[in-house]
Amino acid sequence: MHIPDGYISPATALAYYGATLPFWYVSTQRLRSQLAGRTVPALALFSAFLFVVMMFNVPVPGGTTAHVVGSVLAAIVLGPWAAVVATSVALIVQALFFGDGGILAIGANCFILAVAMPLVGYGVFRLIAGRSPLESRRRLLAAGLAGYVGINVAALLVGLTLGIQPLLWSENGRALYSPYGLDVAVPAMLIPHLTIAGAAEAIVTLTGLALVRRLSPELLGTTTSLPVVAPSSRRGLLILLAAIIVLLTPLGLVASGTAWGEWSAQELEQRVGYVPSGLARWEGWWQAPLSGYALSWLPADASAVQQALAYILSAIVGIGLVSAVIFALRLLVRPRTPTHS
Amino acid sequence: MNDTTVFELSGVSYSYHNRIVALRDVDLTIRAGEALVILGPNGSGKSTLLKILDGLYRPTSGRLVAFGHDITAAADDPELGYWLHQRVGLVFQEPDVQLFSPTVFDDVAFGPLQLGWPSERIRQAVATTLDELGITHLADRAPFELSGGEKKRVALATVLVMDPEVILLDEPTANLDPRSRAQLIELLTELHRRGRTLVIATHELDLAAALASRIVVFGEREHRPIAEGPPDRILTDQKLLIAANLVHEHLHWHGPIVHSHLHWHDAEHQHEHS
Amino acid sequence: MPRRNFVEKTLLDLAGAIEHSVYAEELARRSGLLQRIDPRVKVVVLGFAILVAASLRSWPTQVALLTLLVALLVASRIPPGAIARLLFGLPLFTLVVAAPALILVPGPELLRLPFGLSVTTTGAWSVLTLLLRVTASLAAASALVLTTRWADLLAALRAFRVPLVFVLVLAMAYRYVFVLLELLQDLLLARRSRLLRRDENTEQRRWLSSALGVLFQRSLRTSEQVYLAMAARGYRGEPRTLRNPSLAETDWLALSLGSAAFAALWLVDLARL
Repeated sequence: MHIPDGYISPATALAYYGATLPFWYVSTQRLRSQLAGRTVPALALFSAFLFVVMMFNVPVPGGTTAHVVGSVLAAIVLGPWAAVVATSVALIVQALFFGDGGILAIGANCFILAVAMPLVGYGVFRLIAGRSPLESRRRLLAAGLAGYVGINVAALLVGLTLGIQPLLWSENGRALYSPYGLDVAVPAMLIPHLTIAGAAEAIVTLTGLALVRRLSPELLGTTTSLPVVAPSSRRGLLILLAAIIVLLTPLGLVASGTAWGEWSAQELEQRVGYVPSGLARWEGWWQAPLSGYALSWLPADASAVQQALAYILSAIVGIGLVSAVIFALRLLVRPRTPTHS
Repeated sequence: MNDTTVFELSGVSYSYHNRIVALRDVDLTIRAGEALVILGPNGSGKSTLLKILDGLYRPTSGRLVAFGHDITAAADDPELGYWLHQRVGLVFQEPDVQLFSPTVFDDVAFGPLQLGWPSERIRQAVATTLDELGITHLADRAPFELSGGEKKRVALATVLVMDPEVILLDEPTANLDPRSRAQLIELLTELHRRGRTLVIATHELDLAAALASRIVVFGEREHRPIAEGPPDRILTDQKLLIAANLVHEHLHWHGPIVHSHLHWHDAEHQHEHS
Repeated sequence: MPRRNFVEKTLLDLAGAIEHSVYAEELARRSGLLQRIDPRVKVVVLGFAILVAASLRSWPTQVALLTLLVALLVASRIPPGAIARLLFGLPLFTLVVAAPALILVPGPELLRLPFGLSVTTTGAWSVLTLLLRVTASLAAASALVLTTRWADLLAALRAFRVPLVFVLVLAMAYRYVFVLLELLQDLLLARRSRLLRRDENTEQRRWLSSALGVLFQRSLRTSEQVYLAMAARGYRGEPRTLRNPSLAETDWLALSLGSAAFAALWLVDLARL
């Protein structure tokens, strides 16, 4: 379920980071005020618990086993914001320490498993559980179903993310990243999750909730009765969504191959219908340095973004060479005295 | 030994979730420089008492005075708690909850950092403390790499580094092998000799015999002191010890053992006496 | 062969995780090339390497990058066996996953197979590109993670202005993962020692839920106790850390030279477009 590095393009990975950051920010802010001084140990132990839950091999009817994510259970028991942070931390520890899931792909994995999955699952739970009493059977069934829907939404997102790779990043028919289109990637992800992994997630979410209800009912009393999306924060959520869309649009454009830099003012006029006056004024300025020092060995059809990238990269190479020379000279010039480092 | 009062508890009670009683109407005075052993079986409220003394739990009722200041509300008042924690240190029973940082160094430096000491002073103090406890070689280990005895010493280091006047210890010898145990007892004796006030909660009679200058016995049903006095009197009172569930009739205690453990010395340890 | 049940599988996973982290800690303490470099520099340079690995398009530069990274691992005294396991694990999985793409990606025929199927040149190139990319990314990540102690990696994150609360949670989560993993291991072993006959599915699930419960309660209790232990040492909700020491001269050199090498690879790759 965790996307490793190399399967998705850097643009996709960065876009997912951009999409996840606001959720991290909002959730840590909320938890800080809710948990006060207890924030750090509480989140750390929730994360450690989720990490261990992810290690479980859950027996599924039919005799096989599957791993679970547990973020929907976390959202129901601890509240959606704590679930976002705790699942993210568990995933980051997995990626950095156990090599489960890529580092560049942390943004994608966190968005899918730690943001989309618990939030959707929590929504499903609230929808079905409604105002039913805390000890009702309906709440348990709601939890099971929420787990099932949550994991499948996550699987769908993974399928879509992998599926768009060959559409957007191919070169002469050769796929640069994950090679399967949507027609293969989406069913390949969904079929096992609709059956085995979905069942495992439903089992763990349901039994988990039943258990917490029996052992620590006071926990459910406080977190789930908290109005999670208060009227004032609904506006916050809208602003957040808007921010995400604003953030994603340019990244998406880069992603689709038509880089920003390629738009001349004329092209922009054709596309958008008008030219922002600011852009017209600056166009000459920011194109000048590029055209002035064109790298002759870059392919003729290299875009402005590629040229800019080439400049930055050459600068890094230059700095490296210069510092190597300086270091070598100093080694030669300096008298050999023992230094404690 | 001076005779100033460090802690004064009057009528202190505590119950968890307003249901489970842990302490009932406790009156207790703790004097500077003494080594007070709170002797009681599991569930008699010893741990709760230590957490109240350290201002971590707020008494359900009653009043608590430390160093002449009313600190009953310390658990709900961060500034008051902060003031108290500069002078009183608590070593938890389970070292795993006390060692929460990535390395031993970070854990020992945690307290001084919270006190806002300058970096140089922190590094100095951490180095000295690790040296005194003979654990300098553990400085950059992760907690999960430590043995039980090592964890206990590090936990003690995290408290000693802040140089508190009073050290509260919760079952300090629990789960220790005989050698680590002897080393720990020797260390605590040394701390007491240097004038630190020790409050030790335990159910082990030989620990009480080795360390106590005074013993308070807590009853498991009473949840408060049922006897108090010097070790030679308390530890020879078989009837009291059996009633308090500290010895069993068929498996009992034959008077205080006189300091018969092996002494342990190594190079690091010598620094303590300088 | 009897199929291993979930208890055995989970036990194996747990042992693997614990063994891995103990081993990683040991590797990070060796005196190799990368172990001597400041963690902050490693995060920048190898983070950049991961980005380069994700961006390269041509196989010669991909192979060059992979060679460079493997050389770094060797110079850091990572045993060849460990490197081999690393570079064949996920890539092998990738090969299995990507194999059908040999046929599924449309393009000119390279090799005819029975049943009217054929391997396409574009398919073969796609699989090769992905394989090299995954391996290089993994090598870069390993060069960072296996040569840097967890505590130092966290300190480096702190230096990059990652919020302290987040770094602390990460540090503490990792710390208590071990406490809980050991607890889970005990629970599983206790179950195995009591197990006399093959257990039923429903019974397995009942056990699973009670194990989850024990772990959850332990997490709750531990978090409260840890908070008290922090408060007892003067914690008032505002985390603090010691400042990192400044970079040594060799660190600056490693920073500039390392970035330059990876940047050069990327440049060559761009030029070959």
